[in-house]
Amino acid sequence: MAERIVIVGGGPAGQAAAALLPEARLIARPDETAWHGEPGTVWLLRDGAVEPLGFDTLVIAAPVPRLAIAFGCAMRGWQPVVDEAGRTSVPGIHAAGAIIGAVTAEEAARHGRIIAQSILGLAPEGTILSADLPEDEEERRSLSHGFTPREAAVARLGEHGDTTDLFGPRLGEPILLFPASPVPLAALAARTTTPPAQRARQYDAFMQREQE
Amino acid sequence: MSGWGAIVIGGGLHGLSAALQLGRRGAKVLLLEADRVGAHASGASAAGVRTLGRDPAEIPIAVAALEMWRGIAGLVGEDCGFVQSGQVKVAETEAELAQLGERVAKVRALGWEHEEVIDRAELRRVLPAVAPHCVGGMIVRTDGFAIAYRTVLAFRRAAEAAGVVVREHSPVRGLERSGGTWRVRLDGGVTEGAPIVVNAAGAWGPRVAMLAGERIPIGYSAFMMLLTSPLPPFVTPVVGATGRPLSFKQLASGHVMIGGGHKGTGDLETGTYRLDIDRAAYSARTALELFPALEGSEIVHAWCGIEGVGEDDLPIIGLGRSEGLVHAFGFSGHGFAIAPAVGEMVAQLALYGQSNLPVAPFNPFRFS
Repeated sequence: MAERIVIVGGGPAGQAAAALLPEARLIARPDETAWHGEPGTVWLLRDGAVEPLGFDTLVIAAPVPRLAIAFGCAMRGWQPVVDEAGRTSVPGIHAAGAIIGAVTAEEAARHGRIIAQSILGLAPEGTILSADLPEDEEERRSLSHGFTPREAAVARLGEHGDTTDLFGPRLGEPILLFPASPVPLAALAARTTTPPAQRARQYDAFMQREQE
Repeated sequence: MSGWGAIVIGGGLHGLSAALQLGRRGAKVLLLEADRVGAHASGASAAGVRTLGRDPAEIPIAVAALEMWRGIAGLVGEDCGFVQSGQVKVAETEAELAQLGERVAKVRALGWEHEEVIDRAELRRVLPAVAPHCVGGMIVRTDGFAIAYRTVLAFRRAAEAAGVVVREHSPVRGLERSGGTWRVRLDGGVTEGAPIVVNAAGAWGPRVAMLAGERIPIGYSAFMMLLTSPLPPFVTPVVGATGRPLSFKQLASGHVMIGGGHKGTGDLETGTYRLDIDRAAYSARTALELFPALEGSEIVHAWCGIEGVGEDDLPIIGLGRSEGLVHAFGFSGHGFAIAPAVGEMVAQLALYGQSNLPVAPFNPFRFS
């Protein structure tokens, strides 16, 4: 199966990425809204219905930080932390444009192109500098591919540093809230007519390892 | 620094309530919270204050706690948004109504009279907007709800006013007992000491117990909540269903909070959770089927609270095997209402080794 590339956002960053990635599925308001996500899936609102859309590669090119948070992207404040090529801490997920601090359409479009070039394996035309990206090259590398948000945070701040701003991205809220944008209750309710089984309680993997 | 009278591990509502009661009894209390106060189940709670439908083992505590809620401003200095709206469990079929009738009879036989069965007409009087298929219900007219995070902050302020020192971002790494003192090891080479430790670490309670060498291997769940856009007032009491998981209330702001049992998934390593959209969808469907007035609303927020859950859906409350250790965690999704009373029970257990309210059903070691 061909790689499924999804671009969220029809602004300058999303359009620029889409121009170089003709196979990609572009999600743009008002026709479609990506209102939530979980690994490998974005949840869409489309024609008044809620539906999941699977992806291998995702470009978040809309100012929807709660979508990035839903995938577990390491955050600094409301911005996903990205490397030179716009990669977030979650493999396969990129962020471009206003969500990482672009303040002009030109800058956003440049982000979109660089990410598309990186996805295509082409030499990127430049680098994305996430606002406040660490200057140290080793630190920058630690924020790219292959790191969990916690590992990326720990790499940046040390084992006992205050990592809450990065991997516990509640951003000053008492409890982390979703979704990225409101979804009609009736559209959500229409997804299912049969009662799902009650999910069984979970057990602490750490405790079970200790037991063995 | 040392010289503490008691160290409470866990800055949720139960830890704060226990710390408050210990502080009021003259103990010098240090409360250690790994994250931030109210970061998990307490802050995420639906905040129902419910005696309705309680497991018989919990009824004495829930009834005592409801009395405390009626005077909550006297206890913690503000009303925590508590309203005695009543709580209703709706029967959607005659079979469910019969089941509720049996339940009320059983509870009355135990000597408790707070629950009553209501028929179709009375159900419509208390819930004018309920769907036509609902045939009756069970009600406690004096139950209600509060506002979760506001309550947590009120208990924190009251505890601090009673001399409790609250230290956030302070995960506990080790617990050792020697010479009548617990040595509580923290990050950065810091150790604190006290003769009494209270384990109120919620879903992380089993880990804290294990640090003290005690195995209390209960599970946990990430209970999911939904909040709608504000709607004109259409429902006053907190509403539950009988045949499917639901808890439902309209806040003073008009927002409707929907919860009651469907679960996402939680990760104890990171303290993060994941929603389960299809289960959230079924919660939304249940709410919509009971209250058609929700038709045009939107879900504006959804979240989960990670909570310890016992095998019998009852909490862990009691003395540890080690001297000077009290466990109070795993409230299984219904601990918010009873927190004021459990704080007293924990303080009594810690200081006097026994409690005024019956604690035997919550024996920490009942599963092993």
